[in-house]
Amino acid sequence: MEQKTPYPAHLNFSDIQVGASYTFTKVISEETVDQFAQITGDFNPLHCDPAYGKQSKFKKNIAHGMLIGSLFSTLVGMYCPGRDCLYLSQTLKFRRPIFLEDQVTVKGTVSNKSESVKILTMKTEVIVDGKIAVSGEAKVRILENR
Amino acid sequence: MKRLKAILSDVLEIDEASITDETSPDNVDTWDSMNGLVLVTELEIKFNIKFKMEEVTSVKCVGDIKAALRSHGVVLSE
Repeated sequence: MEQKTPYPAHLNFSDIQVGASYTFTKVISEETVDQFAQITGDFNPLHCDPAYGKQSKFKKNIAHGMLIGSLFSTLVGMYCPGRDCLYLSQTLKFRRPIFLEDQVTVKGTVSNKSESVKILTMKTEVIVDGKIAVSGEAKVRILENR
Repeated sequence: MKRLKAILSDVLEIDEASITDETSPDNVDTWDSMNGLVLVTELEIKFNIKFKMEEVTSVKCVGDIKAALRSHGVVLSE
């Protein structure tokens, strides 16, 4: 069966305003955490071993920080600016653990536009239950003349 | 210049003490095209100015950045 790849948004530089926010939500399932462990080779028991997780300070397994951070790639590649995005940099701060089956909201707020080089600076956050779990700053270029 | 050096050091990951007016993509490996773009946005944000494309393309070294900043009214103390 043919699987269709979701198609990204296609925002031009002039479409995007400073202060505008873009969001999406995702449930961090056990399967997602397992897939991330397979891809990266990070099978740390805090993420992958339920018995270890239960005995940890968090009392259960938590998602890999970089799995959650990778959702900022989805934010810029699929939502803002989407299709013509070139991801230049990303800072990350892991502030709270994210547990399996948590629903996260990934949010990007445009804080600056550099017209001369078509670069957006975005404040990026992952929010769980109204609290910021991961924060950082992204810089993306919009390739208007691909 | 201290503020400018701090930005250059942060973006290009080089020692502030090594930065001179002659510092350029020709003598700093990390001053590649991507970092050059990031540098433009960081200068714009930190000095609250906006460059024109012609200014961006005319910059060849730190001395040129200083001249561009001064043309936007930025005072650079030595």
